Amino acid sequence: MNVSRLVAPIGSVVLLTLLAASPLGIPADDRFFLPLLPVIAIHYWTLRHDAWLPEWVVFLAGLALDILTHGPVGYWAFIYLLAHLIATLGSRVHPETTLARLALLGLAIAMVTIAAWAVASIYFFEVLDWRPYLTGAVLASLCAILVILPLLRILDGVAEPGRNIRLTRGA
Amino acid sequence: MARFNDDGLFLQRGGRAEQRRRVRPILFFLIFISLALMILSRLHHSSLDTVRWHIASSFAPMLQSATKRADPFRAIGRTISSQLDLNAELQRLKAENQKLKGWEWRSKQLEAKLADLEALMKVVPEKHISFVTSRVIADSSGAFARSIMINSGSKENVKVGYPVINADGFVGRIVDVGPDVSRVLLACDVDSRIPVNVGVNGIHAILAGDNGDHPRLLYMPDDAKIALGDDVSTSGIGGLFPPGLQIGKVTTNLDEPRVTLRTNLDPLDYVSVLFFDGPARTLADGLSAERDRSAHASSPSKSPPPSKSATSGRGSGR
Repeated sequence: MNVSRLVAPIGSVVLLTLLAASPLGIPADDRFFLPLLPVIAIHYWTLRHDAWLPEWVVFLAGLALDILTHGPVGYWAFIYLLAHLIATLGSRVHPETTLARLALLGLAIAMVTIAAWAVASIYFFEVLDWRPYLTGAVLASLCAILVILPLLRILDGVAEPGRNIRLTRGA
Repeated sequence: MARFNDDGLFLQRGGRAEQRRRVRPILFFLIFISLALMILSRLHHSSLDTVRWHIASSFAPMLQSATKRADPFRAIGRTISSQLDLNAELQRLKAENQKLKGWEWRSKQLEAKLADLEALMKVVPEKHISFVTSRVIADSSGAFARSIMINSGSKENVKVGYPVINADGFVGRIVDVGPDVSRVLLACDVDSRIPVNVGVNGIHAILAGDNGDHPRLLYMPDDAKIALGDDVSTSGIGGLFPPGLQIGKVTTNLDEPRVTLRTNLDPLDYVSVLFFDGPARTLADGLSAERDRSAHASSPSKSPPPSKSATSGRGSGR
């Protein structure tokens, strides 16, 4: 594993986390898709078995977002760890085609969004409006297909080792 | 997958023999930590708030840099949105301009009359309020909070409780101050409570945020007569804010009146912090200084009181 395989996953997650806290002038009700963008990167890199994205980095990214957005500490850390867990379990189904990978990502975004809504509702002891969450999930999925995934693929290509050949000594 | 046998050396192309990842115990440990932190946060643990603000302040340089980098994208977004409703905006501005021309003449008349009356009554002139204009470097608008972080702090003499405005009107107030950054609680945050006057009769009420776009008006007298479109401004009661800062207009139904804010709180770029040291803050600062002095006098062996820290007076403005 070369250095770029360490930097690319962590760098992309950190950048998307900072983006989620940046003042982009988006209405408050439509901002929910921004914290879902790091979920896409977490999912992508967790499925890549040769990329290095440990759980504590995911935890720290979520914690940083909680602190910067002044939400409950641990909320996004929990949601991001959940995304990591979903991707880890998803890696067992061996999604080979692009369509299968996209379907798996869509499923992960849906599950994470439902979890985010449920945890926020429990936190406030009331059933929150689900529409901003749905809008956020749809926008995050669109962003994933149109922007984030192509960028991650380019980053992945740059960070890919020159020759992907493994040598093993036989009997 | 190609495999070669060359003197007992096997080559596996692709190197993807192990595709699945294991779920490590540390993941469950970190999930447990997250949930524990969330519960502490729900209980409003004070130490958690202090640590949070210190860490958030340390992120300021990174956020400032990120905000500068994001400027071109924001400009593009703003250009697209302004182009989309350019016609409607032009019509609205024309109508508003006509109305304002009439009001300009009327306000000049009233201004002269007011100056005469004030001179006659020997009214104490209002103090000039200075201000500092700051850039918004982080936005935490979402389900849990409506606040922004700005790039001026105690080095610019910003204090907790100072009102924050922009060209359109009232924005919020300072709730946390670091050396270089401050956090502004927006008027629509669930923790925001602002004493206001409603309408021409100046009916007193409290403007209470609920994280939505239209804060509620609370504690109005039962026989209060208000109408849709009535202006809402700060009343100055309590001495935290100067009177007369424009906040918005009464909208929705009058049974549960809500206010549409004059300021669009979503695309905030720059805001101004008013250095308003009202009587309440002067009194609180005086009492705090007195308490520090007496505590220092009673324990002379102790080290001198710390200088004003990043979170000094935190919460006193809430």
